[in-house]
Amino acid sequence: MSDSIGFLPRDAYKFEKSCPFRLSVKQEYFIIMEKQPKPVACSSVSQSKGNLVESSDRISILLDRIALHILSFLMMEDIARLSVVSKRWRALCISIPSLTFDGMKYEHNRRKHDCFMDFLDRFIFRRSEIKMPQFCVRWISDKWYLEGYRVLTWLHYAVRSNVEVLDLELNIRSAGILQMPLDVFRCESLRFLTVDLHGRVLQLPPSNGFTKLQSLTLKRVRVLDKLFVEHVLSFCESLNKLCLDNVTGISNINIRSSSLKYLEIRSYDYNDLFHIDVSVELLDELIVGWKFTPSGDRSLKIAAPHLKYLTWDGFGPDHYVLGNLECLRSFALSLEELSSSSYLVECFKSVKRIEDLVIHVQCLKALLKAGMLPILWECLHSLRINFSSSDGMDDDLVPAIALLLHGFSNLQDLHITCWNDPKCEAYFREKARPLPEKASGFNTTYWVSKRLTSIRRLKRVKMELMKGLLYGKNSSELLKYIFKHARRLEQIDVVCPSSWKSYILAKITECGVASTVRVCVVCK
Amino acid sequence: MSSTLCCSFAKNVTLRSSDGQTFEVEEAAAQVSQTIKRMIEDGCTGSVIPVPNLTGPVLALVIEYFKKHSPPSDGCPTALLEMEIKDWDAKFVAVDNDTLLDLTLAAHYLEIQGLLDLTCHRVADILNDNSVEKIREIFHIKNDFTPEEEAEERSKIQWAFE
Repeated sequence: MSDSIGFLPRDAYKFEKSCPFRLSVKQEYFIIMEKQPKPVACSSVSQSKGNLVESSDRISILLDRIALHILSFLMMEDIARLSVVSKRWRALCISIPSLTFDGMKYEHNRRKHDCFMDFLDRFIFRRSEIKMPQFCVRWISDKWYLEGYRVLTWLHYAVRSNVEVLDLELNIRSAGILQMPLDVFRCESLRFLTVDLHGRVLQLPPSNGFTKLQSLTLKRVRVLDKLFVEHVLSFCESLNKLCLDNVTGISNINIRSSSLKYLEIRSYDYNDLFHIDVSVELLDELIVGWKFTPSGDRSLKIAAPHLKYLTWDGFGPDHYVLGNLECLRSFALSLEELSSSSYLVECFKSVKRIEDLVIHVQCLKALLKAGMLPILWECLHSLRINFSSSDGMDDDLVPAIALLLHGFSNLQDLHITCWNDPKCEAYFREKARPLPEKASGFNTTYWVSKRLTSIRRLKRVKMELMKGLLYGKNSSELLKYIFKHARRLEQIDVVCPSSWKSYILAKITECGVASTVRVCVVCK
Repeated sequence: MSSTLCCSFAKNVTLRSSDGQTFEVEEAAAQVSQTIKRMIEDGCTGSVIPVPNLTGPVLALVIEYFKKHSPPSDGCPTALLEMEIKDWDAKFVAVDNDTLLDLTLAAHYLEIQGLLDLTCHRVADILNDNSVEKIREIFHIKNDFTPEEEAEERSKIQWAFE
């Protein structure tokens, strides 16, 4: 196969460089190996001669494929301007395969909004049925009754051009409902669909559709049908990725599927979701992000025996069953609040082969209280401890971290992060959780006395000394301890306020960190 | 793979440009190019690998890129390293237009996706920052519209020039 690897013949390239000619773009290119007979190259040059086109410009000798790749980095406005450069460029602009129609930026400029829309109407009409693997529409409309059918016409063209990836973000302020057009619903080429409606209603045709769809993302979408998700899953036979990001209008989400590998459910501002029940035999990855105002009885039930990656953040519901998690390799447990830890204990007992763990300090405290620490996980090599903005390295947390580290004898990466989620900050401001007061009780002597073998194996450590972690001495003492005792360290990353920088750098020198260790202190 | 039979020191390959210049580069680094990677896997490392579409100076630049982008020997790249490489990349493509286009073609022929994205993005930025007249001038593009045709094309997209 080495004789035909996408290469231009030797002489042909010289041609391109020195002569005012360009090669036909549809020509096959070959590389000539030393041992290979020359005729391969000669024949391809002679073929091309018939197609030589006179042109003296350097950019025009670029192959169409490269030129289109360049154009893919540009916005439609730039494309519009480039189409007056020359006829070749006009033709190229029309044939760009992947398009993004972004009208969001003209929200406050009515006239430009209208001109832009006229241009896009003409543009997509002139393209006719040139293949369009990807199409993205971001549109804001106050007059959907006038503009709706035009946007739907674009979609119609995309379907006729065999669109595979369709990404819709529509802010239709004047209309309440988006009816999914029948031809999009039945589109045979469509594989990936994303719909973001800024909270408006999405309705699907009553018949079957989306049968070839592999990935569906619904974001900020309201549905009227209580069994919307069940219906979608019943006819999306090939779906392996489903993301429900703030889908409102349903109180129970029941996921049953024989094809799904990836599932993401996020619900942050909607209080009427009460039950999530996932029972998917082949599921690989599950992400649940669920926040609510505590009221009523909520439950989460997972039955996914082949799950490898689980991410769970937000608040813990009153009841949860995580089922058999024997296959789990990566577990990110970032619940900021949990009412009951007994289910959690069960879950931690069942998992054994975790390699990656992310844990929120509130969950860590719950595990400590339940007497679950240390957990002996020999496979674990990466640990991340998450702090919310209002959490500090309190005195009741340090022993929990020490016990946790004690169980992970093969740890290589330790990452201590401070979340800066504005939503979460606002929530905690309301609840006014007090900042830690007692956060200075543990110095390096304490850590040394713990004889942590895991620290000795540590290769990389990253710590974000921000917000609550800046209170008290516990955090900096832990850092000092690591600097001094982690003898296999390769990399240190610290994020801290600029006033802390010199202190951290001084400690790194003082603790005798080897010069081979890559050190990076970033100030925020 | 053949490298497993070899001793632990880094193996080199020799690349030869269209004008006969030869360059020695670590095999792992050269494999940033999918084309060269396939050739190495097919066992052409014994002899010199010809790169007949690249002149010496361009090949020298591409090899610089190889070296910067060869996979780190100690596992996964870090965020810090990525930032450093990004800075380096930006400087790497801050070259004259002819060199930039040479690099673009080289990236295409040698199948170096990272370099192709980088150079195409840079060309796109140049197209973005300049007027139609300036673009024609920079890239020596002949305007084959008649004045009437051009005026008509422009009138339809007047809004895009505002």
